[in-house]
Amino acid sequence: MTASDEREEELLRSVALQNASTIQLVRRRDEKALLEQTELLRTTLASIGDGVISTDAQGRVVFLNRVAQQLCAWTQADAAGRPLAEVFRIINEPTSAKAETPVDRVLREGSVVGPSNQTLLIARDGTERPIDDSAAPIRGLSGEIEGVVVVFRDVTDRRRADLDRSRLAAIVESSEDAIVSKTLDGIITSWNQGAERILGYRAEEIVGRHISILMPPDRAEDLERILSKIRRGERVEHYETSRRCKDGTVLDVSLTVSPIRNAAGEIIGASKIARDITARKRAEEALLEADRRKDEFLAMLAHELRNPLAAVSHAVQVAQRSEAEEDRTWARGVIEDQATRLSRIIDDLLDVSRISQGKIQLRKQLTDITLMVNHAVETVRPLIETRRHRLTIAVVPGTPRVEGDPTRLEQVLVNLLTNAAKYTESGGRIDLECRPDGDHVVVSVRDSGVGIAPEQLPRMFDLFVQADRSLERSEGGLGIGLTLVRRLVELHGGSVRAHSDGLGKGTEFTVRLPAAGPEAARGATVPSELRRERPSLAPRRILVVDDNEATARGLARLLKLASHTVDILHEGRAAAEAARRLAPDVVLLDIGLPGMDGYQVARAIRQEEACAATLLIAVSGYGQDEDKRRSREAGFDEHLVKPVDVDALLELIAQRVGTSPPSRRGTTG
Amino acid sequence: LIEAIASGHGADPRLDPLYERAARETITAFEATGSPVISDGEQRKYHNFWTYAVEGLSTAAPDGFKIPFSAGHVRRMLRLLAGPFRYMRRADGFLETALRYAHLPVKRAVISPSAMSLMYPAEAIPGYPREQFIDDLLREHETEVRDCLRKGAHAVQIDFTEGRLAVKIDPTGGLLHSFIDLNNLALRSFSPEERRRIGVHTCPGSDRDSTHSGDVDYAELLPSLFELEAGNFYIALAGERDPVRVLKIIREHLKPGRRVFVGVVSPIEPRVDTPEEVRDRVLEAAEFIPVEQLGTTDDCGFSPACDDRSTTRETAFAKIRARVQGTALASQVLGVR
Repeated sequence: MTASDEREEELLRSVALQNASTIQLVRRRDEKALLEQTELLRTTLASIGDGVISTDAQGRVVFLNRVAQQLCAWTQADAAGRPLAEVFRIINEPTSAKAETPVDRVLREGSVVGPSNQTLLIARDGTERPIDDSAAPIRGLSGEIEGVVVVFRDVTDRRRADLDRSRLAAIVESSEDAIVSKTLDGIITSWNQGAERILGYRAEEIVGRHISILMPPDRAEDLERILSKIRRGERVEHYETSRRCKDGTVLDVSLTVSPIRNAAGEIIGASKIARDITARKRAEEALLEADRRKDEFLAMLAHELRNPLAAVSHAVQVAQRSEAEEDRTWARGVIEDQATRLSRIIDDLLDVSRISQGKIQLRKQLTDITLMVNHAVETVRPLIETRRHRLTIAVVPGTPRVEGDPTRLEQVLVNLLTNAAKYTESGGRIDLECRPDGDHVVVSVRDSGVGIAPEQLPRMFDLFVQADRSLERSEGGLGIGLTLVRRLVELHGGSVRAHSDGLGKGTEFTVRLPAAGPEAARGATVPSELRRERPSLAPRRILVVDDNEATARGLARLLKLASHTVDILHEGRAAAEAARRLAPDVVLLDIGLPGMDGYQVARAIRQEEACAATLLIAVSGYGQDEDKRRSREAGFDEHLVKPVDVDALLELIAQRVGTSPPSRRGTTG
Repeated sequence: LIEAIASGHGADPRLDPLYERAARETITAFEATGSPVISDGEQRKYHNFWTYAVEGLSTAAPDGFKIPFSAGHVRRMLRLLAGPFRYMRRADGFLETALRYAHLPVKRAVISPSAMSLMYPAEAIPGYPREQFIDDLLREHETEVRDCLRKGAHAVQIDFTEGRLAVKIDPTGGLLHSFIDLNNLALRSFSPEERRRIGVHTCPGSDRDSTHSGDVDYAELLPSLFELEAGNFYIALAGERDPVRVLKIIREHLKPGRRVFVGVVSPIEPRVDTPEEVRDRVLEAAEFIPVEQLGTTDDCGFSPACDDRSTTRETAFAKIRARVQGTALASQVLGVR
């Protein structure tokens, strides 16, 4: 080797030495960087929210970060070197069976395991927590597994949130209301079953579409108005509007719309609850209509009551001011007619009430409908004759009888004939026909009167409805006659129908009643005549008790005109004493009395031996079945409703005590 | 091609078609030997295996350190004049050409950082400290290896022939350890998976049928060599006087998970080995190295410099064929694929 070669080798060694120093410098620098990086990694692991455990290749714990120490309740010092299964105790949540640690699987399979989400971690202190966990191998330079890292997290809060979310979703899905969410641009993002039921669209066909698809044309401005409020963070509550269904129908809905905010509190959309209020709206409209009709009825009732009262008032004044027998006779006639009219109004009102409450009881018997026709015609004939109508009656021979209440059936026919007479111009025509029709009996009343507009026909049988209430067309009445007709006919199992070709073209009412079967026809007793002959009268001693002095004196005067001896009292206790003293044949006793009421007085009288044969008659403004029952229980023989039909009262007295010595024959109620 | 390079500059773009043709012919012939992994014969390393990355660098002078060979000639390193240090060309570019013609996996050889580190002179370069040079060198090397791996190299072989030379120059081992440290710094920038595709080659040199450090005992090198954090080691063995001794050293120091490809043919030996000779060398190696960690290779490249015509192409491919056939014979005996 030459000297030059030796110098060069020396130089080379010098370079190598300097390089070595530099490499050491670089390596230390890199190692320092690595240490810093390792420390950063350790700090990062300690800071992250998940639990991290690393093990060696035998599955022994090497490192636990802060969260892992908290969740497992093991310190780093205690856990280091222990088998992972001792520190990281897990069981399968559904089965409670001991679960294999993910480290065991990683070491066996050599690949990443997880995530698992049905695991319960049992901490050293026994606390159980649901966790999600996964694990991965840590490989060395040659690729061999040098350890395992396990990452897990406490999912208790998430489970609770999931549960809350599931419950909320179930509530939303089961809601009867439509619950819909949308973006601030109006794009539908969710759609529950209630929305599907109410609006017809399925979720898959409407989610992603614009909410305007539900807007009827006249509600287009709703959208921007509502979205503007939502953008300002305001709620829209119980806003009543309408929405269009898939089939094009428009529903009345009540909307409540609230802003939806994201985690940062920013408004990102709106949730809407829509309730179908179509039925409620209809009910409200029906209530308004009923209220309107009630007001009309009350006005009509006042009118109907004032008219006879005015006539009575005039008649009384004529009688007071005139000595002429002709005037007084006229006045008596007027008072009698108007009193009858007022009684009928009250009877009709009470009938409607009783039928509406289901309290009316039919006294059915085998009835010849043609007889009812005759009675009804007789009742209405004065009105028909006054109006100079021409009435024809056609009864088809062989018309079968019906199982019915004769009084009520007569009431039906009277109402129909009265309506025909009232709503037909003078000199009109009324045709009444009675005929068989299969297993039914049909009675029709047709007139040539004012007729009924087509739109009125469907409501003709509703309460308080009259075809035309204008003053110049009004014929009076309360609008309850046809209601009574329909309800009474229906109580008999029949039907009634109105027909008119229009205004000015007359009206026809047709009643169909089930014909009585042949067996009923054979076994029944048919009254041929409802009216009874008036028996002869004998003078009797009668005690009249009423706290209304005018009523008591008026009734007493009428009884005296029939030759009876009458005593008058106005107070209950005095009445009981008078009865014991006088032993009257008849006591007419008001119920609402001062001191003792009528029931108490009746019971007291019934205790008196002297009054054993006394006919005790209640005279009351109340005539319901309940009132009559209470009267019977108190000892009354009869119950009459004010104003008393004097002829009927005299007939009753004559029947019960007038022609023979007084005797108890039971009540007729 | 050899004449064209000799008459001009090896980096002349007009030579590109010749390089490509040489690579194609080499690949075709290589594949014909039956070798499961091939190379392009390092056609682009026109001066030598050492300086290909920096030939033509304007900040370098040709009077760097020399490597003396037993045949009496020397090879010189370039000397860096100024920073920053950058490669002029990288081996992944050669790989792209090879992959266009190859049908088999291609191994790509690159120069080691330790060899290139000798470019920085003993005196510091003003404005460009040695530490900065080492950083630049490591980055350039990493880029070259990573690009080769990314572009599809079956394996990347780092030529570390200076390792044995270092022992010769500095028997204290200081120089060798500085090389090992530097190369490990480079290797640590790769993942374990990547390192399984990276190997280190060592040999006593193989230039004009001579060596630069054939007289250095492997016992001085191998313990340190296996400290390198590479997945594979390509070790010249066929030319060793006492291969068994070397195999024993390998057995003693080889770590689990690493593979050793022992050289079973010697490029500097003009005679073509027979397959049986190769077989016997493999079987001998298998006595010391677990079969699953054992592979075969050539001791070194057949022509590491453009002016080295000592080995003909025919001889080279005959030797490779013998290596392939002998390895197959040994595999049969050992009962492995």
